[in-house]
Amino acid sequence: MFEGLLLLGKSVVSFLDFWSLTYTFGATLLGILVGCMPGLSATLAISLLTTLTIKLPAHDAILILVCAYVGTIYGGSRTAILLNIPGTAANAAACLDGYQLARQGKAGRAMGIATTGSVAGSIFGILCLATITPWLAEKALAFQSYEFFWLALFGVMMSGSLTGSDPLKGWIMGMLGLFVAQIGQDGIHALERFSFGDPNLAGGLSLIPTLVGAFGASEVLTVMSERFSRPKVHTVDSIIPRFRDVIVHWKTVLRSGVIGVYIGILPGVGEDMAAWSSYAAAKKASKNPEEFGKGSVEGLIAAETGDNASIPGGIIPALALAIPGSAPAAVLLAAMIIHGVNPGPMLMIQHPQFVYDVVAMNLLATIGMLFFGLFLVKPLLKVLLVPRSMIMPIVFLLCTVGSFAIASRLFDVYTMLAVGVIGFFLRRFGYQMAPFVLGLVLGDLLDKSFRRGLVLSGGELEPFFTRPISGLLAAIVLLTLLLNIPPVHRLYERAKQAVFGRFSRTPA
Amino acid sequence: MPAEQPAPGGGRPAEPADFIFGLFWAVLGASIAWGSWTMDRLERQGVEPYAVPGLVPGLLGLILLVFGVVLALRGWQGRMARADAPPDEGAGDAGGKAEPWRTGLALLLVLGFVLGLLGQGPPFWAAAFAFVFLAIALFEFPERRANGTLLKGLALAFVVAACAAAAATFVFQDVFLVRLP
Repeated sequence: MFEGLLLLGKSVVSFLDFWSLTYTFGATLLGILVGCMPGLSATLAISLLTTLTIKLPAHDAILILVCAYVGTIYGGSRTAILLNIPGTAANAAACLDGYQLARQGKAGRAMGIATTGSVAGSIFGILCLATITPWLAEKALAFQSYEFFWLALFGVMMSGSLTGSDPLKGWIMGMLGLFVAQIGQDGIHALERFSFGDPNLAGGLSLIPTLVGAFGASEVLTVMSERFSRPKVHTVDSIIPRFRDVIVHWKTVLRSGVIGVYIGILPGVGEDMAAWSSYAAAKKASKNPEEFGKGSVEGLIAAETGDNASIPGGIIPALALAIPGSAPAAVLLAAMIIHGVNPGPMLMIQHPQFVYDVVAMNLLATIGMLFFGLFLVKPLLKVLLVPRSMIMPIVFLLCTVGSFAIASRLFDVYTMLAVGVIGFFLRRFGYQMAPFVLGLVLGDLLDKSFRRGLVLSGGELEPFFTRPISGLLAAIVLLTLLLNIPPVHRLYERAKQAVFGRFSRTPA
Repeated sequence: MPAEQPAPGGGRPAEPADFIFGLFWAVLGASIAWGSWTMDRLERQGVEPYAVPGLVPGLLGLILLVFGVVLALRGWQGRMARADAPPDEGAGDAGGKAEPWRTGLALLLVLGFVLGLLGQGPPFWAAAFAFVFLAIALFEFPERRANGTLLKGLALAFVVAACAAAAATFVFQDVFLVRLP
């Protein structure tokens, strides 16, 4: 406990120099600006910044990525409140009440509430990050290949189930991501797989250019193919947050924080699900549920606390298990690996300081978010007036040059372009990129864990199902699959109704 | 439950393209499975059959094949249902708010920039300038022409493109020491 506090203190102090603070505030501001622009997501911001920070020392690069991550999710609430367009998917729940408050002439108050809710959620998540990560890493030391195999599959399946409206398409994208990760030399015997003799494919598709293509180029193409319209921004009243709003709704803040962290920890499930779940739980528990969707302060606090709490939540499994909690966390994990940090259960033993460094980075990002949320609201709104027809070509230029900069290979640029164009068309037909990204990042772990597990068991599949945690994860994965088969789902609904129908009173 | 929020596993509206996509995924899955089956099994190195390099890709291919078949069947059922139902004007609008000319132009510009300009002779700054300038000028053209601000738009596109190309070249070439294509 005290050792942890000491390490955290040491980490915070190590970031109190000119360059670290410059990176913190610069990256948080950049994140907020990206979040403000509908169409640009946190995953895009992190994958693009990974390419731009590749030459920086690991600590500085990861500090920038964490700050941009936090800033983007927070910044998305701006457009949600003022334009009824979520800046990122995570802010869709904030549209419901934030925009209604803006229509009532309370846009400033709504942004103040969003700021305090985001800060509260972030602080709660940071506390969980500092306490749960070491505990989870210690428990994970007992994990073997069997558990890691199921965790990887669980992440991809959950992401496929919960992002988008069609789990089948989500799973297909997850499987595609897992397969793409198998291209190139295999991790055990170094045999080239699906490289067709091309030396460029021998090492597999580079992770970051592929991620930049999946989230950057495809998003740019999506936005460019839609009609641009100049937004009409609501007038903004006082933005000074009323801490009374948070104090009055402390139960909502706490509940949303717990839900946000829990959903963040679940592999593959992102901030958007955290916001919606927190919102739904707040509505269910509220004394005034009828106000939700009509400008409820409680609803807005719940959504913004939930999504920001899930950011540190998503980083917890990424650090402790090397299994990302969300798509942006997957890119963050990839960036950590590129910078020579190897997350996983051994991290707490080999580099315990790094875990607390990430906690300190989140803390600094939260301070940056509060600073810009309080003092730079009105100037930040100017970015909403910059036409996307100007921003998108520049973003694509950065996608291109960033992909090239990693290894100075034009092949990486072609990879980015190919993945971007394919992703663009798939997105138009309802295929989400998040499960693909999860699959891409977890593919190597899944392959090695499955084959190592089989070698350890002498070819027996039994330990994959009989070890307690393996069995539990296997059951969840199989149930997720089964419950999405229509006849099984109908049977389940009927059984649920039969059981719960007996206990519920029917109105006269 | 409203139509736009389909229940898990139940009554999900199939898109017209699902059938075609389902077939594509099934063929892709089968090809991956076949490629994995015919992959070197490293028997000479004493690798056990359950640890061969093609095991996981093969299983992934089979899963993709099954998912593809399910999607194709669902798409086929949807087609049959649509054939019996009155025509729906919104059906098949997978592009949402996308406009065909914008899609075509966006693809032309990015493909032209990456495949036609980068590394094909012109220096990076010139290729970057040409791409950004053309993208801004062409996408804003209808609006600018309608408002009578075409020249202002071109001048703005020129300035933005020059700044973007100069900044990207400076940052990557002189700060990060990357030899740009």
